[in-house]
Amino acid sequence: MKKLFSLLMVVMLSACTSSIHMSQVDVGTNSQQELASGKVINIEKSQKIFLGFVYDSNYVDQAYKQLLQQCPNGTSMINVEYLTNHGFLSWTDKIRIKALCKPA
Amino acid sequence: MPIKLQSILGLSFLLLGGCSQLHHVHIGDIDQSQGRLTPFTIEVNELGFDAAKAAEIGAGVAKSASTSEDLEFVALILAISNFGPKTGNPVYNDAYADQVLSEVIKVCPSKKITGLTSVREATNVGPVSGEVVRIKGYCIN
Repeated sequence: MKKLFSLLMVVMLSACTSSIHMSQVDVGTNSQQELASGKVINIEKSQKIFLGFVYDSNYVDQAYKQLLQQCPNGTSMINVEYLTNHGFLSWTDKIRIKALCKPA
Repeated sequence: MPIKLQSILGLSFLLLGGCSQLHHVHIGDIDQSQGRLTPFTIEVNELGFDAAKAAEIGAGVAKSASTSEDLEFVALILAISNFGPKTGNPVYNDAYADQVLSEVIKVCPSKKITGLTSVREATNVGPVSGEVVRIKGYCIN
């Protein structure tokens, strides 16, 4: 019974841990109108890595391209978050971008 | 009595031994020419817990050899189940910093912001920590 409880504890503690490495907010030129009426967009791109074999970081470039597509007039404020979801002998690196698009 | 004193001393060291650790800082443009600046701070945090390290500590202080071996095995299982790069201790919620942008947008009634500083830091007490994202800045009045 004690071993079963210990096993359950281990399984619970090993589930779904994460680590946020960086979260930064940047503001561009100050425009009252943009902050009041701009549209917030969310972009998330990730890369699954097994046993530490990483050959590229293309997901970051994909996120950047998507940002340019979704905010054709540029951004007035941007939040970039880089994090890792841990797993069994593998992990998933993620980049999350939230941005306030400049209105047309 | 000596055991009690040792326990108090151990607990005191654990609590006083807590230390802050800076992981990342970013300072943005500062514009002091448009008006009076009012500082603001937005902080979000989450409990960090390194279960593998806790099991290792348990293995180190276990009285019997078999318990120590079991805990070392548990530490190994936890380590390979939580594989990957870590900044601070792992957390069980990866969305704790999701609201910082909307909080920053809301914070200034004038809707004019400058001098944003983003800090990723942690306060550690053994295998437990407070994982923090802090945004400081100024509203232009």
